Amino acid sequence: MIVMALIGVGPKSRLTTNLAIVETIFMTGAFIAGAAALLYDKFPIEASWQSFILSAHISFAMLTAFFGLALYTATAKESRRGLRLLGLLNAVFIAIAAAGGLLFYSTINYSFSYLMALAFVGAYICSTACIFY
Amino acid sequence: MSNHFCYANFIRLKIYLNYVRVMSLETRVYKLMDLVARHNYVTGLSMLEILTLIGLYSAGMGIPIFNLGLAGAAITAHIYGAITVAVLSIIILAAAMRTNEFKLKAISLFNVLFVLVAAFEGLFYFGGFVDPSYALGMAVGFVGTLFTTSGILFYCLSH
Repeated sequence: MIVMALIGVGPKSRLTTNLAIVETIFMTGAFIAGAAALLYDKFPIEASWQSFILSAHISFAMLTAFFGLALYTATAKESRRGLRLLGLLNAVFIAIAAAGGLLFYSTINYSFSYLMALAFVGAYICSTACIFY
Repeated sequence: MSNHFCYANFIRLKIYLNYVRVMSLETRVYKLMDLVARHNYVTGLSMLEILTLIGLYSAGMGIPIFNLGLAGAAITAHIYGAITVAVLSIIILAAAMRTNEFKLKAISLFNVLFVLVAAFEGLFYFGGFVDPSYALGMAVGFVGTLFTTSGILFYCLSH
């Protein structure tokens, strides 16, 4: 049913495409910095380069969140139903990832880290879809 | 259907939902087959690839997060998923080369290249050089693969 709603040809605003491109770039940066933090950082952080990786991840994640909201407001004005759905799903996945990250940071429970990783995939697919769809 | 909510749009949505509900199973299967076969089967193949990528990623990400080690169920699922993705990406390239869309051909080529990067970095990491830099290279290859695959899928769905 969702797949059926996604089939469609129609106009798309320039703003949506550009916001989706910027958001995808920020999300790629957040993923690479997050993977580096996962592989190289040890809690509690001791060296400044470890804190640099974590700061880069958090900065990219915050930029992703802001551009995700901007993308949602841009897609909400589109005439195609699929685009509106993708923008909403993108915002929801980013919210899940942000909640997972904050919960991991407060309680060092690795299940929340896994939740963050899984929500990233959904958000990335939706944001890439807003470029090519 | 226009964007803002009003009673007429609500009625149109109800009629559409009723149409979907009344469709027979045969019609639904034929509609799905038509969808999957679009653009010389690139649509269906990219759907399969994106589902395999999600499974591969959830198996592979569990290894460093939960310290599962390079033996057991998670790494097995990850490697079999990686092989499936590699085969599917080459099949997608072959199918896309027989369509008339240049954009699709270009993204499929980049898809194969990113899969190659991820596969080689993974092989370096698994086969001897246990250094986190190679795992990071695998992550970079994964992001590129996810970008190109979902690009192929949603390009196919809207063109």
